[in-house]
Amino acid sequence: MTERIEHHPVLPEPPAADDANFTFNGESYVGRTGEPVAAALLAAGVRELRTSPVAGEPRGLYCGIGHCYECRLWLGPDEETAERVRGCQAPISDGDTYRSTRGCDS
Amino acid sequence: MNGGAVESVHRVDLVVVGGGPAGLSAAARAAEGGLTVVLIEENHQTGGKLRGQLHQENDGEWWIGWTLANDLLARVERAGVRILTDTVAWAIEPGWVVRATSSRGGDAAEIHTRTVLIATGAVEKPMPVEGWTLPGVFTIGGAQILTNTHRVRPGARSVVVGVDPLSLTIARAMKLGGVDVDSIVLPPAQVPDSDPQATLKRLGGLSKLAPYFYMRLGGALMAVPGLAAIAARVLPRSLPLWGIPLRLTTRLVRVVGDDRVTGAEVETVRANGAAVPGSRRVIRTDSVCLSNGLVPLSDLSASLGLEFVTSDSVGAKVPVHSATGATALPGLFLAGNTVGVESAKVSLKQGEIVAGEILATLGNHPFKTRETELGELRQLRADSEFTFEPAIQQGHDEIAALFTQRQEAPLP
Ligand SMILES: Cc1cc2nc3c(=O)[nH]c(=O)nc-3n(C[C@H](O)[C@H](O)[C@H](O)COP(=O)(O)OP(=O)(O)OC[C@H]3O[C@@H](n4cnc5c(N)ncnc54)[C@H](O)[C@@H]3O)c2cc1C
Ligand code: FES
Repeated sequence: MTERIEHHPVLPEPPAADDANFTFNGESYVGRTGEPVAAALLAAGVRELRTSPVAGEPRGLYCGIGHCYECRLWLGPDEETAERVRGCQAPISDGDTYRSTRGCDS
Repeated sequence: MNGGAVESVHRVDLVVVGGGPAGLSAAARAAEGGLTVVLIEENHQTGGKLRGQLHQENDGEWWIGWTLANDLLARVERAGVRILTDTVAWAIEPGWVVRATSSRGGDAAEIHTRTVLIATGAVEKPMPVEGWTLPGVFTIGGAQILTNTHRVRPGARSVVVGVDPLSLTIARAMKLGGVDVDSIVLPPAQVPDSDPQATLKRLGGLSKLAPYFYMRLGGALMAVPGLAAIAARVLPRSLPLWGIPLRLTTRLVRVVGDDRVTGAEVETVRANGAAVPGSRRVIRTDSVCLSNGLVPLSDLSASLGLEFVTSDSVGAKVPVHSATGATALPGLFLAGNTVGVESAKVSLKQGEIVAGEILATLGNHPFKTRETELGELRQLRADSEFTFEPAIQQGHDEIAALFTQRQEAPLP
């Protein structure tokens, strides 16, 4: 199931973007190069991006403009060198590896 | 565009922080006037909140932010502005130095510059309510960006909470994008002045400014001053707004769900906001979009120790600045929503004007059209379809007067 808007009645078509294959918590997804990873995940029906530090509750994209940090994820295959990014901002590139921030590591 | 690493740049004329309509138009005019300009934008794309905007004007024409943002970007590029996207400016130091880092991490860069323009826009105020941290709860602006910029629906279905120009416009855009918008309802009881009467009064105050927009709200009912209070007593349970039920006697109680949104619990309220006993029910939905108004983002100004003033007319606490965006610190300028929440048209004009002022400050050009352009800004405010604060012009006049007063007699 996808929640992508393929043909908008008023807005012009966005420029064509290459597919970007990426993984999130080990699962494979296909998004569009340059779109924020949280948008690609939402289009694929994935809403939970991380869990909260105190109660371990699920959290997802909230403000969409990089302000609230509810969407923070790890980017990078290697735990030691992974970078913390905001899922609503981080533009996906082909081959990216994302992981949820979990509890205290977030 | 940069899209990644930021290297230090030495000595430019102007650094613009924020690539929304204010920052972009300022950068374009400044560069067209001969200045070397760097523009810093933390998002991957420039355009700020303009890019996601979609509404119909009083004359029925569509305002398509997507296209306007692209045209503006093309102008900025033609003018030779150096654009750093995916880059956050996190410190500004007098002299001037702007420190910035790629939003994907990495080393900090420092950019030395003769002047700095802060055009960081506004952000949304939160609406804390039980269940608001569940995945599937978005701010209304998040829903706007998803739908109109990223072209992804926030949900198959949605309940929009909060009744203001932004929520009504975005609810319509969501519907255009194929979201089944169940209804637009009032915020929970803890949000001040959110009962049906207060809401109608506020909408009535804005209706004179945007006849086309508010005609859709039931025309005569809203347009006649003083009728709001009476109208509230005979309020229909549901007004159709572009086919979306606007429920002015229904308010959110909490968001329902275990690990994601599955519903919105609502209750019926009387005109004064008193709940009707036994009226609670759950609307099934996979998303809830909360709208609680906007507030200028001015953390960078605050860090520079600028004097702030709270203005009821502007509806916010903002730094003291001149009508053209100058501050008490020579070389530091402000424009756009960072000094008060207004429409993109106003922000675009503010950007043009501040660039005129910067060009004049650096001595390249006298600002011959200053008064004319300030008059145009006034007119744009008066005509704006999109008004968040009806008395904002008055607020800006007062702040500009305070600026002049401080120039003449600075604080000890
Ligand atoms: C969610 C939302 C929806 C809106 N919808 C409408 C609408 O439909 N119609 C309308 O007329 N007005 C709307 N507005 C008002 C809107 O703010 C103005 O229309 C206009 O976009 C303001 O322009 P600006 O350039 O001042 O700020 P913005 O458009 O907000 O642009 C500011 C830019 O600065 C960037 N930025 C912020 N801090 C930094 C930093 N430290 N480093 C680098 N970059 C930074 C941001 O990423 C952003 O791109 C909306 C505002 C919000 C918050
Ligand atoms: S959703 Fe708020 S920062 Fe990403």
